[in-house]
Amino acid sequence: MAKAVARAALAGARAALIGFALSHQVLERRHLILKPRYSIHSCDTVTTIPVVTSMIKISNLSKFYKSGKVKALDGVELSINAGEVIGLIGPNGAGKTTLMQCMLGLLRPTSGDILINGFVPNHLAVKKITAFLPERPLFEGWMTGRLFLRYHHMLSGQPDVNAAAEVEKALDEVQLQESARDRRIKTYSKGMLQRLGLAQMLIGKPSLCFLDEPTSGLDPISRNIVRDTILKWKADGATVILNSHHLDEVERVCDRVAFIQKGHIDLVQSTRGLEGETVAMLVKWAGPANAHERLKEIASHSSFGLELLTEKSACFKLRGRQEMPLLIRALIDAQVDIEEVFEDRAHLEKLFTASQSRDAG
Amino acid sequence: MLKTDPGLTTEIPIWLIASTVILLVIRVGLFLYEHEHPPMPSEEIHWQEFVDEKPPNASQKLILYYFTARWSGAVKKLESNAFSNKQVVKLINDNFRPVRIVDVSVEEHANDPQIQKLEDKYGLSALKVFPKIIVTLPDGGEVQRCIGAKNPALIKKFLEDTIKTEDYVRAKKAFKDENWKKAAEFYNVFLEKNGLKAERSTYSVLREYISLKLAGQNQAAEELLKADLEGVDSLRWPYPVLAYLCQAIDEKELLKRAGDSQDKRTELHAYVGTAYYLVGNLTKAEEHLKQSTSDVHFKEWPEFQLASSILKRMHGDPEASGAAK
Amino acid sequence: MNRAVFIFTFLLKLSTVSKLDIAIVVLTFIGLLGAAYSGKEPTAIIEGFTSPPFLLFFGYSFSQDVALNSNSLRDGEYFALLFTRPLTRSSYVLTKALVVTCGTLAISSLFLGLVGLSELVMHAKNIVLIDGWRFVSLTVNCFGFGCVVVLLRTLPAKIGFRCLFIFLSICMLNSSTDFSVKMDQDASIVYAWEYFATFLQNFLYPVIDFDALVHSTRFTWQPIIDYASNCLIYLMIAIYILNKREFSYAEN
Repeated sequence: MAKAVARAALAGARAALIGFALSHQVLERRHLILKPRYSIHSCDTVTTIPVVTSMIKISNLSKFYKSGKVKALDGVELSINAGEVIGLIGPNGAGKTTLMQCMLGLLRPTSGDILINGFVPNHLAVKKITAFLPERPLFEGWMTGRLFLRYHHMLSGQPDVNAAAEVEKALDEVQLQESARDRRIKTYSKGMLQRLGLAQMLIGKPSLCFLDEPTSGLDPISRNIVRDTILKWKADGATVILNSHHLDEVERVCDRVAFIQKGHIDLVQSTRGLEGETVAMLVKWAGPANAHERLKEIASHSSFGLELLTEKSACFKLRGRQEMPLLIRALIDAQVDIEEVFEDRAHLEKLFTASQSRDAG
Repeated sequence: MLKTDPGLTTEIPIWLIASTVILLVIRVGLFLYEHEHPPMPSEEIHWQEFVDEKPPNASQKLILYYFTARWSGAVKKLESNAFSNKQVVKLINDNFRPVRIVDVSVEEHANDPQIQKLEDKYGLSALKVFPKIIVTLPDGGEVQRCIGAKNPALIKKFLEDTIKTEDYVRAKKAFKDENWKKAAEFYNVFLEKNGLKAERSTYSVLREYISLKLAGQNQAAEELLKADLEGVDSLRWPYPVLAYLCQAIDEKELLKRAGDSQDKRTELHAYVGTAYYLVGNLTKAEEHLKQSTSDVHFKEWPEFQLASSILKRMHGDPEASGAAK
Repeated sequence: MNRAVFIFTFLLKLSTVSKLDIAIVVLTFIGLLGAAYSGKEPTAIIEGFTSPPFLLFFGYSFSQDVALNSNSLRDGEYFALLFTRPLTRSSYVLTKALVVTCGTLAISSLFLGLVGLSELVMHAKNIVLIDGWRFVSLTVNCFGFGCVVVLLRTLPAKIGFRCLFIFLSICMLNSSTDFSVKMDQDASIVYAWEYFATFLQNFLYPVIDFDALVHSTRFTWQPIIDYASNCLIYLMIAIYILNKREFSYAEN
């Protein structure tokens, strides 16, 4: 009986919602400065503003708790360009989440500043283009999926005209099953919550996305959905900032990776092996026996750096991906029976553990 | 600290800041102004000079004593709220004789002897709170009291209630003074004004009946009982006594209805004893009346006094008033 | 004035009407039936339902931000996602104040309707409903206490809860009879205490009694200005607190 009453009331409220939607002009706010950058779905018209080269500039950011005793962030310097995907990697408690919260304006830094497109993080212009997926999404359990997205659609300040269609599109993109869309959020599994979180980000049509550990505890399908969404954003020119523990995931989507350790960014590394960047190539061979001498000869005649690892494997340091064909040709000419030549994918992990031991030792 | 940049999410709208400040300034200004020029208190109520109870041929209006003190903040609240309320003022002016008494026992450690006498009479010096309002009958005898500063609606209710129960209180006083005829008259007036279903109506009917009987007007008493028995609320306590008096139930049933309640038993023994006395069954009368007066806890009650006076009469006390009064 | 917050706070309350709420309403109705049967004056009951402690209670229970399943005292995490949207914190506070006003008014009206219904059922001679000026006072006081409730809700949940109790007890003290006690001390101490207590009451209380105001022999603007000033001060403090608060959802 109570449920019927509540449902009736809800239906009545929905009707009121539609009424409000048609009268949206009445309560329009006056103080929005920048128009948003719609850049997610390629079928929408893309209105881009001339891009400032450095979208986010973090200078000497520090965040102390308990009057200086706990240093969550200590002099962080980072510059993030527009349109790039950057990953933040670090052990637990390094300050990744704190940094992300400072960038979102949820925390106030003790010193230093953050500028996003020239504005402070707590500016409406910034909020209009921002989307955020928290680590443990705590969405309103009483809402259904559709209603939740409708809520965020309204919150992001967009006109209500196409709200329902856009909600459906976002739900389709994250592949949330039809049966779940009208169920209450408190019945969702973790994977579904994460997808709903992604949908909530998509609804706002952001050009600056923050994701905090988006793939932790997810099944492979959901992980793929997350990755595809990030790549889509990247293709549309949005900036994505990612916190993660999963190095392989990070490497697959990110352009750059920043290592955070004890509140300080040690190293920012490009994953793409851009021109001029050192690329490590692992070579494994079957024969001949004096392969080591031949490899040393190759290294001395070219500009390759060489590190002999085992009897049948070595690591060449090239100055860029463009030198890879030269290496392979050199190996063939030297009649090395190549078994495998591949980029050292464990590169990131090595860097990670190296920086760990450096600080521990 | 107070950001008003319209783009920030943490901005505070200028109109909000401005209006808060302006209102605060006006408020402080008004407060200081009122402090400098305090308004005349209660000038609409026609306060009279201090009167002691006058003999009965003076005004029959109830007297409203208002005890106040200069230092009391609650008094100021009462005066600015309740005594500035048009309806309260009208009620007081029309139906009471208001008397304002200023108690200086805190500042000067002793009151005027007349004031002190008045306070002691109504047991007010033990009650160390202000303000106090006491409504009394013109010839003495408390009707009701109201302690503390209440909001206008409650004061209004208090006054209206007092006006309603005026006749009841007068009747009760007459009853206690064994002035049976007058008591019956007053109870009659009370019943006419308030009807049979009001809170004290059942008691009124009962006591009017007894008064008429003791005054010797048996026929009027029986007529009254017959007429009012159906109209009275049959769930209220003294109804079983009425039922007994017109022989609808017997004594055992009456005792059962009273249950274990000592109050109810005291009352019913007094009335049953009186009934026996009126029909001439003196032994039974004495038995019941003695039971009624056994517990001196109820000495102030009309029933207790009724029982004692009948007992006195039965033992031939020369001071006891005759039945024909 | 944010439309989303307004609509969805109402929706929240409508969608989460629990069995407990219905039980409370039914029990109240039964209690009212009993009171009507025993001939109690409905005016006192009406006065009770429109009194500050009740309004505060209704407002606080209406203004839940989100019906979380788990420990609802971790409300910082809810705000974390909300404030990444283009929404000024001041508009959030003002919208919430308005919503809570409407909600409190609705709940009060519901209970007043129950009083009328109980009288109807019990065939009372004349049905006493709330009279005109009292209803205006009720509406205005709902807004006043809406501001207070919003302030309590912007505080972190544990602190807000304790402040609610403190405020409730102040309301109870205020609404009870007020009197000054004669003490055998120096009169100036007594006088100072009285002054202080009255000042506190005047300052803290966003309440207007239109009934008294209209029937007063001497009309002043003071109560209205006091009320408006109090409301605005509460709103300002709420916005300030919300601006200063940091919303961390981190596990540590």
